Amino acid sequence: MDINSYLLDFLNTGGNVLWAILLVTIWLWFLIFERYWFFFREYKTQQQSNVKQWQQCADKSSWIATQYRRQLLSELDCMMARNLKLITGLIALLPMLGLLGTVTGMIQVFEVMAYLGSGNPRAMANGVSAATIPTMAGMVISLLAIPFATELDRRYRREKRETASAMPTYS
Amino acid sequence: MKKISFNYAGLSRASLLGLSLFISPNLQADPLKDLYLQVSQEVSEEANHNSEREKKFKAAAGEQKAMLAEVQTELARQEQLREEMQQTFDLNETQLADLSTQLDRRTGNLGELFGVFRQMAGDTEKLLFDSLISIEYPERKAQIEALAATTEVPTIAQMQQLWAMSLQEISESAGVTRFNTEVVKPSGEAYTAEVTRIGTFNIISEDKYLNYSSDTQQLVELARQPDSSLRSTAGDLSQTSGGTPVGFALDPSRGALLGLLVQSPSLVERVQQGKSVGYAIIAVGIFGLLVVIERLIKLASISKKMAKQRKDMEHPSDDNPLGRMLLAYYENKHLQDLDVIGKKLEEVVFKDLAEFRRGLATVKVLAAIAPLMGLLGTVTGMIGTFQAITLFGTGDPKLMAGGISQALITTVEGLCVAIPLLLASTILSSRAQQMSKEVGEQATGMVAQKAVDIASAKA
Repeated sequence: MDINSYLLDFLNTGGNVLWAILLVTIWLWFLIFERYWFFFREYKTQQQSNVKQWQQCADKSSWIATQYRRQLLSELDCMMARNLKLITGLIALLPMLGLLGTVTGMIQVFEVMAYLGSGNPRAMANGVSAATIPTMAGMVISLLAIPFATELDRRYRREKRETASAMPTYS
Repeated sequence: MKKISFNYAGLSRASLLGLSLFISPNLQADPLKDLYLQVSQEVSEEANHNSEREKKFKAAAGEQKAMLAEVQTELARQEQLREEMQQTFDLNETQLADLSTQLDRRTGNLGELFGVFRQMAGDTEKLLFDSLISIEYPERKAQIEALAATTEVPTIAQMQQLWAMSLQEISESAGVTRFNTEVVKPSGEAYTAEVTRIGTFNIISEDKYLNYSSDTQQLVELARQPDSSLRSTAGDLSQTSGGTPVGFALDPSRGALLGLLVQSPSLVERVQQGKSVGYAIIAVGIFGLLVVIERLIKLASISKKMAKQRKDMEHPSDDNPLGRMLLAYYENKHLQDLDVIGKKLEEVVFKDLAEFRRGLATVKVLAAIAPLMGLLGTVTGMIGTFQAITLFGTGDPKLMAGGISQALITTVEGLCVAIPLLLASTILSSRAQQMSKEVGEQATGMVAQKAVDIASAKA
């Protein structure tokens, strides 16, 4: 069996919710990779240019200068913080989607029971797999993503701190 | 009897005579003599007549006797005949018994064959009546019915016919064929269409799966068709001209699974299963979605206006936070005290920050409420189920199904409402946070830079 039909079969066994989980998973990992790409490629140049701009300023202690510094810092902050909240949000969402899959699977099981009675465990197996596979998938994917999300969050905080210290308010 | 009547006639005549005597007592003696003569003459006549009769009777009696004898001999003859026939009958009876045992002995295997043939014909009849192939060859039904109804030992031709039918069934069940036949829509109207039969398993018309009900002998379109991906495989099969292989989703249960499909409830029916709690959850979801949409539009319009303002810093307008801050700066520029100006700007910013965060709490609360309402539906559904159990026991799972489906559907609805609301609340809050950073820090920076520019222009 080729991988394509195997995957399709797996997704069909898990029911419709598994497709939603797949969608959210793709979104989540796209966001995570985008963040890493940003940190490794775009962030460094922007940070260096902002730091240089601050260092070129003659006045570093007036109200206006402080506001200017805040602006420079905030520009970097906004760039870094983009999507970080969404990543944690999606991680929280995945187990919930898994739970949704559990309940829809249970509905399938009870439907089968209503038509065929409880004497046919094989007929119920489809619903049971539709109940368990999304739960597992949601759990596994959110667990896999948690380390990356934590790491990204720590990186964001560290970079913020380091940039702030690279822009001293005294000359 | 005759004698009595005769006597009676004589007596009446005598009394008449007596009467006449009595009436005319003074008549002459001559008439009396005449009377006597007449009487004696009549008596002798009477005696003659009687003896004649007697003779006649005697002659008749002889005749009767002869007849009796004749009859008796006839009877004896018949009895003898009966005797003889009885014997022949008994003889025949024993002969018949002999012959029938002989027949039984000789047809021993043949009788078994007849039984097997009838049984096979009956089984095959049922099989052919339920089979999809019979739609293509409707004439088979009459043939198999005639075969199954035979009461005599089958002929070789009949046996070969049954054999040929079974073979046809087997060979046809391996093939995919197309033919035109009548199809009934779920609404009841019939039309003629080209159908494709896949062995004995499924029958399709274009991309629609059909169901064959052997009771009514009709091909009916399934009221609820399977997924579009499965239907497209049916469409491919209907259109292919052979040669290239096409994939097809087959129902190996000969339509039983497809039949169950019709019974599974649609989306609307599922929503109705949720009952009042379900509707409440849906209302919450719609309300939350409206709030989210309003917020998204508002935030997008604010950020668009700010971008526009950033390009044109010379003409501040009060429809965006940056413009309002610039206006506040221009109003307070004469104060010369930067701290005071800073405070004024902060005041403006605070108002805008409140605007960004408006509605966020509502969405968050709704996202938290929805699963709780689902839980409420679960519990009320379970209460219904347990009430059904108290009333009817656990024997019939169908009685409990209503409560259970309510319990599960409301949970699903709660989650279905909570998940998008939660996602939206995350997106909204991160967007609001970013915008408040932009306004609070970058916009003040821009105002500060503007102040520097103005100051340097003055100098």
